[in-house]
Amino acid sequence: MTRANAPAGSSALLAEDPARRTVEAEVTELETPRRARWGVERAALWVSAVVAVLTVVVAGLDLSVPGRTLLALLFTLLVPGVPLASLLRVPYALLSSCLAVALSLGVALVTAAVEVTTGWWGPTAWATGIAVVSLLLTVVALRRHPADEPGARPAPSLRSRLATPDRLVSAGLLVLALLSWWLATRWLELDAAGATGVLGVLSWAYVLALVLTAVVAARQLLRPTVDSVVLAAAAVVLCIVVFGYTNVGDGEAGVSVGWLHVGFIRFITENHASFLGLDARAYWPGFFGAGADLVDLAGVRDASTFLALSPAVFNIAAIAPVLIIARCITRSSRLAWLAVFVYLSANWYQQDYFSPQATALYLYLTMLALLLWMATQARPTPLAGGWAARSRSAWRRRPALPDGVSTGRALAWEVALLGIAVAIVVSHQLTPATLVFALLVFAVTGHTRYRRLWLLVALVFLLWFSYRASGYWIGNLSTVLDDLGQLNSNLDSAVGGRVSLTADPTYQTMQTVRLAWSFLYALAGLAGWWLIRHRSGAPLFAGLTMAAGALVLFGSYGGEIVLRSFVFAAPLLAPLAAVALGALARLLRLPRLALRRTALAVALLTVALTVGSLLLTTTRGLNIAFERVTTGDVAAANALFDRLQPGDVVGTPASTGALGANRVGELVPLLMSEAGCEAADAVQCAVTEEPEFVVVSRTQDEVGQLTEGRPAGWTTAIADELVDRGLYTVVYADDDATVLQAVGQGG
Amino acid sequence: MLDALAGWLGLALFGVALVLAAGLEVADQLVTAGRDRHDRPRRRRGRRIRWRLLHVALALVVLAVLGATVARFYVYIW
Repeated sequence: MTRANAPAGSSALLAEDPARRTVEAEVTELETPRRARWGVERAALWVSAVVAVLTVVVAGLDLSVPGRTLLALLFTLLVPGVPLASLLRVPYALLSSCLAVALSLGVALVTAAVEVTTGWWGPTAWATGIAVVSLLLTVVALRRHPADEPGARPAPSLRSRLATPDRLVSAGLLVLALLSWWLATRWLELDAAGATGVLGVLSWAYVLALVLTAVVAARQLLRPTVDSVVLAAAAVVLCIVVFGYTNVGDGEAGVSVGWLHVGFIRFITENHASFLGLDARAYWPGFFGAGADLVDLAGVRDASTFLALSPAVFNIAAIAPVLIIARCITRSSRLAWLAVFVYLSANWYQQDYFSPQATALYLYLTMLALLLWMATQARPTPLAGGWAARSRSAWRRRPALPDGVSTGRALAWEVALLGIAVAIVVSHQLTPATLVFALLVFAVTGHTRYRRLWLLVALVFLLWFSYRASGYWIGNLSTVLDDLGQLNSNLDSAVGGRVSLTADPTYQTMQTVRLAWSFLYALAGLAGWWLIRHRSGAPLFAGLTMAAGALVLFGSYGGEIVLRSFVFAAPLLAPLAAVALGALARLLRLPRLALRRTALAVALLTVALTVGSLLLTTTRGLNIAFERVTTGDVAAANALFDRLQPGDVVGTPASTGALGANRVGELVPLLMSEAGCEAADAVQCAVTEEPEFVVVSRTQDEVGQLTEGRPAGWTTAIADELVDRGLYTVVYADDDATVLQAVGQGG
Repeated sequence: MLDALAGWLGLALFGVALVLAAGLEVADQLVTAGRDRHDRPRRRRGRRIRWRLLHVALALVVLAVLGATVARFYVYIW
């Protein structure tokens, strides 16, 4: 680590003030030895080529070979992104890796949207075309050899880089953490989860897994020079431990909407077209089409295969772009890694299930990372004068290109960014709006050369919305326009609506903990920004964070808009919060303590990281009692699907479970509540509306108990009364769910 | 006219706006690159005027696009 004015000895630990660090220090840290990088890059190119060929051959011949699912996933993540990213030659290796995945995903999403909208359905044929293009690009990429370029530095030997004693100890601790976590998943009993959510059913083995992971992270964060490999491993293990806990422990993936996405994908697989007219999401078919392609290439029954590990995978994927963004904001590797742990610890929003928004968020993060990295490298002309003069001149300035980057290459990067933006536009409604705001902030503050990129993306977004999503707005435009600019009501539906007056008191308190945790996060971010407010990039960081918050002006989004704003703001809030935490640590003399009494400092940081992870577990798993989807829910849904005739109405007292996983468009849902049925109660609703089926379950019971203060067993009482009256018969029952069929309907 | 604006004419306007914006972006990058390298003289007055006129044209086309979008909403909803 080179630093112009660094003190001697273990000074790295003591001199982490991002307000004082120079841009040059950051630039030096981000350089990757060309020869070392080329070795990895060449291996990645060969791997992507092999994956491309194997996937197409296996899918084309429909071979049932082990590992086919993994192969199809690798195809979606690496082909043709790896050769494309190699040819784009972004000097920062980590950023190049992010681009490789983002470009592959982008191609998959755009291709799928074309397949679905034109009717040219053919996953294997399209995959073959993509594979051929990818192989051609790979040949071109392999023909150039950057290691021969002037300035190439020799790479250190692999053994010296990987097998240090410290890394071996860390690896051992992380393996122990994973073993402890596995034990915890075997012991997890979510049936006992109530108003305190997953916190009430935690075992010591889970806490031990968190502590072991925190020890590894704390040791590294307090070393004079941080070891990124160990920190990356710790972050990955933390993602598996926290984000994979309930899904792996419960045996099925939680969040009903994820199962609904499985149903949408199944619809596309069966009909080779989007589910237009059945759901608004049909007009943004990129993700669902790509899911159907993936199902076909993987040779699996449906997309439920990908549900359980999605939260862990999406969070692991976010580590790299968040780290890059954090490095650009904090100008410190140590604080950047701290920001990654802060980001993960505050990510309770449950938007990382198998969904378009999770995929689009990764693409958004990669775009933000590239643009911020370019802004960091470019050193734009400093602004002079007062606020008014600065504002007037900021948007006119144009940052220089990063060293060694040609105009053509920068243009190619912009084309790549536009391609990724198009993939976002065809896949999700909300992310493109945030992206346009963010790009506009870059342009207005004079921190990008791509001054019209925001306009191009806005035009593509408007074009898609106006011409491809017309079926959506013809039915919903009045709702969209009514919410526009209604800041107070949008905020009220998002925040106030989360805590009902009739809800369980403990549950209400826990919801307040969630809000407080987010408020603290935002406050820490604000404090961090205040500390670096004099830096040239400060207006950019503030603008990007506010761009995410501006979504509140545009609609309530079903009461989720504040949550979604936090999702987009979090990658910026985390580095800013890390800056604030770094300053707090300096105030408490933690760096000096780390040098004199290392064990004590590590213990203190371990406690802080563990508390953060436990808060994440608590806030994220608060609704687990009804957000989970049990094996019984899935079995009941399958029993229902076996009996269902197209057009049959299925009544449920609450919307939980896996009923969306199949027969989309054939199953007519009926919510047997005051909101969904004009009747005094659910029994009366069943009498008047006469649904062919009624499904009651443990999760429905829990949602009524916790959010409406209903008595335990209220859904069972409904089922019993319907059966006692002779209106329905039980056609399926297990510990978790019961399916009733109307008498005279074949039951 | 309104129907055309809500249909093919609106689509054409989107196309023109996208091509014009992309063209200006590419030209801007190339011109700036020359200026960064100091191997190209600053634009002459005639070129500067033409550059500004193109931006005015882009602004007008974008406004027309917005108008076409509103027209489309109007035709299909009301």
